[in-house]
Amino acid sequence: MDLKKILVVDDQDAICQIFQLAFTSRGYEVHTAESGEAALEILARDPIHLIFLDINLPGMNGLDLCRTIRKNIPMANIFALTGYGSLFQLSHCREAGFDDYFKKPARITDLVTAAQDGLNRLKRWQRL
Amino acid sequence: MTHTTPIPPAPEILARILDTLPVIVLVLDSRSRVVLANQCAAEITQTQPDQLVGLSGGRALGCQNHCTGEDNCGIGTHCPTCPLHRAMSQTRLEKKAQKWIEAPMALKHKGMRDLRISTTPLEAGEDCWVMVTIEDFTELKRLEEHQVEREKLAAVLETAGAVCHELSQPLQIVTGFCDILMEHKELDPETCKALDAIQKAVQKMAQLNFDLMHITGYKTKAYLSATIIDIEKSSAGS
Repeated sequence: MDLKKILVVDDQDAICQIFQLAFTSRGYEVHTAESGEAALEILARDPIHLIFLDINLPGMNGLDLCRTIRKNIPMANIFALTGYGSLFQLSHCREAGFDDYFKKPARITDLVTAAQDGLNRLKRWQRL
Repeated sequence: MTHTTPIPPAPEILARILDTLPVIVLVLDSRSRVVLANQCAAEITQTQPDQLVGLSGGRALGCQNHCTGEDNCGIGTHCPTCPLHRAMSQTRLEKKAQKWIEAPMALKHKGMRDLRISTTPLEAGEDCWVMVTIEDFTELKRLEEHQVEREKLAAVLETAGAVCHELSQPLQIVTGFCDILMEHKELDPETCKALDAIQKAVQKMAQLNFDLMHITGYKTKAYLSATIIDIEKSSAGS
């Protein structure tokens, strides 16, 4: 199973482009979706294990999307991206099943580090 | 035969009513001396009503400015501007009641209070007495001011939340593309410097955004001829 794939779910096309450029140059296969529904369609065909989600999505919000993904892909590393951060919201994210939480604007290096750490975990779990 | 409780004489009933009123009632003669005071009036100076009789009005109330002039409330340094003094003078002059005049006063036993004063002229032979009723609405005013502050803060928080969320998107786009450009190996030093400056400006905007998200109070500052919210002083990080 090729684990070096990420899924980015954000309704801002420019943000998806940033992930494309930043992660493709680092050898990742990048998939993007602009809604929760579109993300689930991609995951149904290809269970990607590294996922970055904007919390505020049109239609299904990021929290509900995370809960659904967590049920279908329990080993996925799911990261929240949000424009409005608070400790209150962080606790909701943890409850929904997010592994980590980034407040926009997040630096590329921080996102890449999170993805790399997630990838290392997945590889370690694969060897169990 | 039914036993009925005898009705007290009218003056006694009136006296009881006067003493149970939750407003200060003073009757002052033409020299502004207290002729009659109710229980509420005595309570603000922590005395009994009969101890106020004969005192000047200002002294009876415990007005701190009463001491700045002669013992004849009305000619102290601050007295000409005192709303109570002005209301009484006007009542005597025009023989007309003055209603609900707001008068902040510094009272000895209670500090600064917001008072609402009404006066009524009373004929007493050739003299013109004045009945003064005073309502202390300091607590109500403070509650209203506190309520207004809370409403302003709620409006600020709602606006700040919306602004923060919307601003974070373009900030992410600028910072993301800056980071990607800065990874290019062929960049000349001038371009690197420019990108670095852009990134620093974005981080500063991100910090402002963060402060906006953590507003806990409502503090303002002057900006030209207007007033704007002071983000630094209003946010939790300050």
